[in-house]
Amino acid sequence: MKDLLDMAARHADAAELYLVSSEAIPATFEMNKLKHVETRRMRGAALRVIKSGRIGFSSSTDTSEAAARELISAAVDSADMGEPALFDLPGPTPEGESATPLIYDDKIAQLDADALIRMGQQIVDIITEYDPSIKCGVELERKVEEVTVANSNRGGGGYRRTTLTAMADALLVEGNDILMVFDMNGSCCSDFDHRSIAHEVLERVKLGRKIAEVRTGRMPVLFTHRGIMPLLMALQSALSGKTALEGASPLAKSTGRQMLDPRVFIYDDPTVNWALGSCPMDAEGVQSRRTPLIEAGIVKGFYYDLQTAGRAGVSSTGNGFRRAGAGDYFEGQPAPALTNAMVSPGCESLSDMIASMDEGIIVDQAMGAGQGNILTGDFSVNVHLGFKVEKGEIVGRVKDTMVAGNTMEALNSLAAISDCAEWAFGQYSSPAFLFRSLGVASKGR
Amino acid sequence: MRNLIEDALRSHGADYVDIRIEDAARTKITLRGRSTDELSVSRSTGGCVRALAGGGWGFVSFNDIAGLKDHVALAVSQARLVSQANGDSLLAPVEPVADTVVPRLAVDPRSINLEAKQSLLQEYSQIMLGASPKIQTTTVRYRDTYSKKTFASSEGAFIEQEHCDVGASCTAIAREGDNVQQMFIVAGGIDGYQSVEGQHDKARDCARRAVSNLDAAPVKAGQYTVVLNPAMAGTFVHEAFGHLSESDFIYENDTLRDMMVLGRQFGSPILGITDGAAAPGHRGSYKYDDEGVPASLTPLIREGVLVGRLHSRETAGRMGERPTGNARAISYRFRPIVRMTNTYIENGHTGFDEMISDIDEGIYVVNAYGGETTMEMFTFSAMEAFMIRKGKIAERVRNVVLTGNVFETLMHIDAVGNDLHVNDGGTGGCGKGQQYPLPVSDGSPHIRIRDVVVGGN
Repeated sequence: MKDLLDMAARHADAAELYLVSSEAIPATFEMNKLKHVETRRMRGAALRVIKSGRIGFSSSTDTSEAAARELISAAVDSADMGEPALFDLPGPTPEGESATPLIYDDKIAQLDADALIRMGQQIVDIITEYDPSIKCGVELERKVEEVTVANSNRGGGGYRRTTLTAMADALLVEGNDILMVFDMNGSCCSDFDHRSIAHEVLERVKLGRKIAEVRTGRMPVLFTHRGIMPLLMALQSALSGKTALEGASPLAKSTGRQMLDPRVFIYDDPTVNWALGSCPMDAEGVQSRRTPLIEAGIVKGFYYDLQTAGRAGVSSTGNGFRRAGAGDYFEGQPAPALTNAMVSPGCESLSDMIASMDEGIIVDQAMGAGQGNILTGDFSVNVHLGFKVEKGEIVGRVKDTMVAGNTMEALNSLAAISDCAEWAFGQYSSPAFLFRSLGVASKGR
Repeated sequence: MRNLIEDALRSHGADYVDIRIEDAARTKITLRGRSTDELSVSRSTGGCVRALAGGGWGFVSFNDIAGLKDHVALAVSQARLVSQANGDSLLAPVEPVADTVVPRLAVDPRSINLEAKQSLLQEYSQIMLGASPKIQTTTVRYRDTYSKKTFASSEGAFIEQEHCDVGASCTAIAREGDNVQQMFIVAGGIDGYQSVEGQHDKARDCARRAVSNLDAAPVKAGQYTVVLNPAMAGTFVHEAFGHLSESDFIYENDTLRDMMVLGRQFGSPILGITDGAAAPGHRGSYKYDDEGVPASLTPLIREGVLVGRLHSRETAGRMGERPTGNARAISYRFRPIVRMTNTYIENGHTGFDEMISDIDEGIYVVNAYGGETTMEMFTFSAMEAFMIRKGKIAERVRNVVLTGNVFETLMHIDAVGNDLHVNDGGTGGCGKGQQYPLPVSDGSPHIRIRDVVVGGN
């Protein structure tokens, strides 16, 4: 690998090599039965060069010597048309300054297909024991990945990460009514209790068996830690250094200003031990750190990769990650991305929040997140799983209902934030939010 | 390569094994405003093995093709693990095919250099940025993929298919104070690079429409009669009905099978829906699917009645129906699952003017940002929309998101136009499970639907 980097550096002013190899073993259950066991092995290399001050990029799944030459010439050639590089590749990290969250557990690496099948079966058993007519889909996956970033400034590093993830959905069909409850979670640590997914799913199946009527109009709406996702997606877009730089973010140029309710605190934190998004460095070899984004409703900053930070005249926050619209993720060039979005809890209990609602709805799973005008923070989502609250009590599940609003406006007319933040879909940690009044549209029956 | 594959298919000890080897070259260019946000070429070579043994499935994907024999052995051992717990998978019989498929390209994108591609995109960018001072920024995306896929099975199939997909999208973002509106157009096809050329006028128009949308009022939430243009109706038929016709949802669930029983009335007699990769020249067109099954044209709804569905060999086998050639994988990293190809509503007889003439208050929905579905519920968001007042197209409205229950909504389609248009192009595609983006097309004439829930403030 050092050869490839040296060779690339001879053809350019600077070079960076990103190498990944991984092995994932998913065991999949469909309709309560084991259906597939798979092994997915992936490897790839992405080369970024800076030549005459411009960025070139290429990637390949072939890391042989012949392919290395092709990779280098493709990257170097593309630099002729590339953007001017507004950054220097990071140099060596000074001793003792690196953040090293725990992300490797050998017990996960040792899990074989048999073990994953047993764990998946436990989830199916817990759910079908409650009601055998429920059809479950379950996937247990263990993954081991190894990432190396090296550059011609002697910077970068490498890490190994293990992840264990569990996904479950429960399906109940009665006539034309389909109740589908979904959850997923995971960890880099083998202590992760996959059975918790089954309990989370079941709890909501029980609440959803009865259907309740909702009227069209404005009413209080509570978003659970899962349901809040569309609003967090809007904030994720608004807080991206790239969106802000282009002036397309509603929070652009508002650093230091009070933009949201003073109870709102949001951080990006890749240093949390065992969290799925944790890593010691980003995909550009920049050290991981906790980045305050919103504190007490005040915009503290945006998240950046190297190039976007260079354009904005700031430093990278260690949020340069590779993502591709098609093909393998390492085919994409680094761009700003969140790691673990952490929303701080408030101080009211969830049960008190529900009890305070005279007439309103709870949104637990939203469909159509990201489809609205995400740049303005507008959201308009179908309540895929939600509940009607009357006089402080959950009275049943809502159907054919949409909730709409604007993220920034909603986060300025907050009634309460729950006192407990929970991981949702393994992606972010958030409490539940109760908004005073949002637009609800429902189909009259 | 052929020797390596045929050798690996000998003496595997399973009931069935197939191997897919894929070599794909991709070019991606993304411009944000005037700057080149992404410009890269990538090469992806790898393969996968699928094994069925004792009614259980195993699957291995890899980049190390030389180790093919070991990958087959691992897939077979995994299949045996599954068969111990649940060995009820089977395959509908098909005739093994030996064939070679090469695309006919007017202009091969591999013959156009990066610089020329970049400067075409720069032209689109400049045109949109220059269309109005209210254009805040633009994004222009370009992707081309040229892939060579080899499929071989233990039944004797050996198919080599080359395929080319070129796509572009131009997004204009208009801003006035806190109001930000975006709009995009797409272009592309499977017949070559020329499919993304000549979009200058459309790009300018797209930017102007984004600016016009700044003045649109947010729609008032409620139930409306809506008229969908072919692009929006295409999204609708894909999201609202197409996914339900994928048999992997239902083949093991008796309740869902009852719900989707052939012969059930799904809509009024004016409704016809078809899917098929055998429809030539569209983004979802191909000759053989990823199980080596020839593509077909599958009538799904005729005169409002459910008459067919989309199958893989397994779902067809289990349901006692014929495979339709709809088993697709986005790449060798994944096993094939039941997917749509080109899905469209058939032409009806109602002209557009007639369709809106008796609507007192409704919404004309033009083009879609996107859509999503979870079984019977769907939601999709409009890029542009206009009120219909007293039978005439009236003022622009924005933030129009439609939602509903598939069964009710299909029943409420009460007019179908005679101007079928198939929507191709773009850089995205359909997502299902972890597999995104899969190239598909959708299409429709204008359609009218009664009583649709529209979300809004």
